[in-house]
Amino acid sequence: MANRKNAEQIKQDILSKLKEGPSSIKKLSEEVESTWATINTYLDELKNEGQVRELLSGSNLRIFVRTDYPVFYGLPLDIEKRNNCIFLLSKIIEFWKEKNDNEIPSKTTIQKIAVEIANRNPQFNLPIVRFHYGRVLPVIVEPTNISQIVNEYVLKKPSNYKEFEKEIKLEIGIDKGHTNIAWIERKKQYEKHKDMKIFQIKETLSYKFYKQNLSEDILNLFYDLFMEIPTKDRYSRIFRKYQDFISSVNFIFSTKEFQESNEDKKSRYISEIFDSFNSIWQELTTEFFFEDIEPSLINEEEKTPELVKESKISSCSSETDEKLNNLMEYKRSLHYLSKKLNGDEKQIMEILLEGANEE
Amino acid sequence: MRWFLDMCVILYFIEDGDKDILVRKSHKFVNEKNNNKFLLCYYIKNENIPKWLNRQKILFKETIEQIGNLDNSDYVPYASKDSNALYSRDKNKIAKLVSFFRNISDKKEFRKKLDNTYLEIEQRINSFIKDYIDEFIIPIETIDPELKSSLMNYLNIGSPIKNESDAKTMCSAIQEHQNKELYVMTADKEDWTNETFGWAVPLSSNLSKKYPSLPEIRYIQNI
Repeated sequence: MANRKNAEQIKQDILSKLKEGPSSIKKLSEEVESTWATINTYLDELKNEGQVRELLSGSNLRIFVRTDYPVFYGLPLDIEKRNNCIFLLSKIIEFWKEKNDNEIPSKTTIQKIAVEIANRNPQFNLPIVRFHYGRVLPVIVEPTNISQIVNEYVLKKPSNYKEFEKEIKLEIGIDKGHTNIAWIERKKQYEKHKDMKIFQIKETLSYKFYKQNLSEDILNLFYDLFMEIPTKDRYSRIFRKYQDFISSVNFIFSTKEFQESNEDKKSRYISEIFDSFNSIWQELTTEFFFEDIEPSLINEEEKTPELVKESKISSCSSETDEKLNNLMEYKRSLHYLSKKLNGDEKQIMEILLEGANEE
Repeated sequence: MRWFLDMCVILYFIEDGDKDILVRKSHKFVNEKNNNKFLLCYYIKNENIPKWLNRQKILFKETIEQIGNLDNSDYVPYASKDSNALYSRDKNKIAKLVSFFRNISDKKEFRKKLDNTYLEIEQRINSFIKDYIDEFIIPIETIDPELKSSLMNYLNIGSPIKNESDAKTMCSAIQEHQNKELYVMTADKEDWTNETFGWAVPLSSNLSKKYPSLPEIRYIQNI
């Protein structure tokens, strides 16, 4: 007769299974060979102890993940890729400290070094994703507890680990100029890669806002960023929001109230504009993230990636809508100073309004 | 006189210039308003104008996409879900805008011009409503479904969306006319006809009991 597992053993089994990635109660009960009710009870206990968190909770489906699970949004990343990412990031920390008198590298520095290595070495099988601050590996690193993460999640050294180490040494060498200053690391990445222009513009916009440099070219920069927003179906929702955003900004800048207000009042309008802008940015870069990570995720029955994406995008989206609606409300309350259209604009208006009797 | 305005009157009025007879006549009609009252139905104000403005945004997006793909031989226009909302006349406008872009050639400048024009149109519509409309009539939920469905039967075969939209606007005019006499002002000679009204509300029908009198239709081109 098989020995019955005690509570601690079951909890350990659950935690061990969850190292592979997020899981539903049903799947855990099959894998740990306990009933649904037992697993449910112990998961609640583990949750209270802070060892797991509920990634998704629906009426029919509860999905859990370990609290130390290092993948962004708790997504089920392909295990070999995850393994390689953590190995690389941990080695970057180790080598950086060795080279710089035990200085702890910032998370941004670690990620930007890792992305350069991953870009140069596709054979390392490392996923790169766009996120809020440019390209990163989709794995969270806390330099202070990296050894714990390595112990828990690095199942084996990559077979070509020496190549990894060689590349890290090369990348953190003097000629690559990594500074351990987050904004410089970001800026370098954006400037180096031509397809990251949108991040570069965002950085400039944030800097101008931070410096309260509220000159007219902010609208111009918003337009520069508009030019970089993809038009394909996946982004059409965000494209339309940005259309509304830029139209509202254009409107506010053309109102009597804005033009006649003092610097302090103007900066309040600009703050609100940036608040909306940042929300759209979060939504856009979350969509970038899911687009880039999709090929590296494990397909599983519960469709966790789709559900996580739906939940993240929907929360970003409602936040953006709320802020955007507030901004658009100004169209009702402020007084627009009508512009004289130039020749081209008159012609565009003519095209748009022709055949009005068919409307 | 109480004038019930079709949406096209507003769209013609907000346009600059005097090349187009309908634009000229709309300016004349509105500028000579004097003591007349202008009525706008809630359907046009709350549904049809926002829908039209939204279509212009989709039209811009498609234009931008086509411009971005001018050198891409694999690109298929109108493949996006959004573009399903466009009518064939919108596609003609996009073709004109794309060809117009070739003269400007700077994508950012072109996009700014599109946005400036959109904003100006939106604001001119708002100002028109604020400055010239005296009364909003017939809340959308009070539009008579029986009258609407009868009108739909007699409208020219066109897009179902356009017919639905015309029928709701016509209902608003006919229903309000029962409260107090009004005249309809439109530029749409195809659908807005006294015959359509007469066929939709035939003599001695139930509808004719509800709507014994029908408003007179006048055309902007004839003023």
